[in-house]
Amino acid sequence: MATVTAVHGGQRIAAANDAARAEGISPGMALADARALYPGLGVRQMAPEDDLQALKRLSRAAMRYTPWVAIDPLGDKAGNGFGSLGGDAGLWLDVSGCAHLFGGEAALLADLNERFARHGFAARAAMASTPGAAWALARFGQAGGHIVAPGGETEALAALPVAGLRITGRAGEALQRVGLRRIDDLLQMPRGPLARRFGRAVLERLDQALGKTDEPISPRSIAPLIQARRVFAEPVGRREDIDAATTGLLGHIAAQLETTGQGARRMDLTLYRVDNSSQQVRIGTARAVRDAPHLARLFRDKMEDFDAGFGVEVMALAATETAPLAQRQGELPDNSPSGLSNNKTNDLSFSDAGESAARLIDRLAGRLGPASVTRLRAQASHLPERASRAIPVFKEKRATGSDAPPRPDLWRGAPRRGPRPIRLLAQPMAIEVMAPVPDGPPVMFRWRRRQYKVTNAEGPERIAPEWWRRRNRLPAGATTLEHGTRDYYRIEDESGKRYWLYREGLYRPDRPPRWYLHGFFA
Amino acid sequence: MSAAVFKQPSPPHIGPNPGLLAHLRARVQTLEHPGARAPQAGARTPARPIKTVSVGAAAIDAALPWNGLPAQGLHEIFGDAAAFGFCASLLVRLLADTDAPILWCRPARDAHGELYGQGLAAAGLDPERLILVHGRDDTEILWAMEEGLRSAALAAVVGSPRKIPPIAGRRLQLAAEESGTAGLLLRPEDNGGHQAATSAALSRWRVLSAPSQPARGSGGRIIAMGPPEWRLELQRCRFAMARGQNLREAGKPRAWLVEWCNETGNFPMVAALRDGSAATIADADANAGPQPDKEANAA
Repeated sequence: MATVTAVHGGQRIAAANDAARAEGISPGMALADARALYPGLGVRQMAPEDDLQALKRLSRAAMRYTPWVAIDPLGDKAGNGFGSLGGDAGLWLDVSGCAHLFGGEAALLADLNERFARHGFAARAAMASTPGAAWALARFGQAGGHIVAPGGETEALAALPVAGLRITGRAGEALQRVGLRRIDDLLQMPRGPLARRFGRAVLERLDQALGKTDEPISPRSIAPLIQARRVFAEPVGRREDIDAATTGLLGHIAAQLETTGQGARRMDLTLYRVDNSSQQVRIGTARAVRDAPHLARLFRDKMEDFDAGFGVEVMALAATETAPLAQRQGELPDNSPSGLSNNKTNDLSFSDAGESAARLIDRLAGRLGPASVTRLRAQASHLPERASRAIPVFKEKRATGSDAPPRPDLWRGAPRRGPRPIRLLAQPMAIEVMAPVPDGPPVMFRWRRRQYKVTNAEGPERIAPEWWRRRNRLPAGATTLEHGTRDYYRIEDESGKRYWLYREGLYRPDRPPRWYLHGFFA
Repeated sequence: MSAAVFKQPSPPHIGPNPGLLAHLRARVQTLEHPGARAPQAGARTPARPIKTVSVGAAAIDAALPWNGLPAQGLHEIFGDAAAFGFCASLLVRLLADTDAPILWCRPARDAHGELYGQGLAAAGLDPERLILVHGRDDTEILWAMEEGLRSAALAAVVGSPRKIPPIAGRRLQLAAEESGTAGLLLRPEDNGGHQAATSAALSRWRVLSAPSQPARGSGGRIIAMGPPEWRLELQRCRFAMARGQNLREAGKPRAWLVEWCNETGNFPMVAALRDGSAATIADADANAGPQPDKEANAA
């Protein structure tokens, strides 16, 4: 049994199980070769995403031993193109100060091995004072759990292959080529030449494994940390009760956020009904908030059509995404749980206009959908339709309305740029045009079955396509003169209405010009 | 320009103390509007002086009972593409002395395209201060407008619902008055804006494009397109009666031919149309006398 993935146009083995390895099949081998070795090989497509998810679940399970669990960050850096998930994936557990809870280090390791085995995972574990040494021993040491006493790393690692130092790519190959196969070989070498020849990474890995330099491990953050839960003695069904409970939970969350100096960007409220069904309600905010009345109002808007069914037993609220939020004077009274009952959602009480505008945006986005609330941002492009973009407020990094616009010059454009319409069609509309001079402005145009007589025209303003962008790349042999170059005219019709028209491409006798309507002036 | 321009009679003198008058007027307005005596209103100063913005020319401001357009209240703008320009020029003035953003509620699909940042910037409006909301139907647009008007965090709220039920209009007007926010109902006729006979809005404008005068060089040769011209009509205006300004009866102009200056958002050229029909431009010509002097209002 093996998993395969497409690399360089061919199917290659990403990982193989013990039975397959016994047949001589190893990762990196072409699938055809593997089939030649063992025709009955069971093959599945590699699913890196699922592997990662499984690893994340494992990491959560491993949190029973220590809160400090990280997924082996080697990942794609493994260099063989398969990532380290193809059977070599690992977890780091920092068990400093935790081992005694499980009856000592040996007992902990045994318990861990046994647990993984019970759930059908083939796992190897090792314990050492440095992450690097533990990594090497877990993969290349003897099976069954090796424990290295502090200071014993050099001795324990000496016999292991160089690959145990997590040296990959070119440096790894170079070491192989000169015959430095074991870690011991490296230890014998003078450091200076070693670094010059194979790069600093080799020494760094060596030092990390031996504990001469620190190697920080960033543990997987456990979300959500900020949560509150309420269990009802009797199922509740009335909206008022649920709202009151939500407000109460928000009070707890707000207090937790306050102590950590955070504000919520996204919150999930899960309501468990008596019949074992549950419903999740999610709200998002434009900027970090920990103001309970405001959040309560967002939830209220969102839960307008909530059906309690036979009643709600448990409510769990979690701040699933948070961002730092400075303490604000004006918010203090609103954060106290006592202030929650009087539902002072009236925004007139907030002094900061930007703050209450952010609240307004939250409510609008909560009801109309996050994509419906946008702000215009200027982009450095001279294609009219790309120059201004509507960006959903939640996607935006910058806080709303508080700081100066980043590129006000982009709105104005180049000093000699022509006029721009107040409304622009996202997709220019083809129109029929009558122009007496082929490369001049039209005297008449038809749009939507109506005819417009042109009384006044100004132009052209020539706008060339952005050929450096991949989407606008020209077909082979074509020039910008016939493709995508636009000549814009400002046109006034008999009634005084003004339009923005353009002719695409330069005039050529063999091809009638194409005209488009692109915008409306005020 | 062919449409001649004549000098407006100066606005009626307001008496020795305009500040006191404004104060009293505001109180009367508070009394007349039951919505304005909400708890918050009571907590504030008993009667705020009405904040007004210029429409763009002193001659037009003078025709309004507030001597300008109140920044707290609902105004309707009908018309063609020019309505967008008129709306933008009002917004520029509403934004002048505040940092607050504008909420602009638009239908999700508009055959006439989306607001264009560069075009708004050319009209003097900072596109970064817009919060754009797209509603799938009128209900959503009206809801978003009302939320915006209630929040008091905005300089103005613009919305383009197709139809406005009378109750919804009333709610918007009350919300605008309570929070002191300007609400603009921008309802271009090319987008199905229907005019209802009555409305709760303080004023109703109809703005139509008018043929512009090209800029001519020596010898009458056209060298460039002139600034856009609009036919601006004040169709309805509440409280006109209160000030003895029943527009129709007073024979005051309710329609003007204006030239829009992109740079300032003002109307440097204003011509009054006598009873709102284009045919009477000639009439105005005759009244203007032999030497029509152009009135430049840098209001």
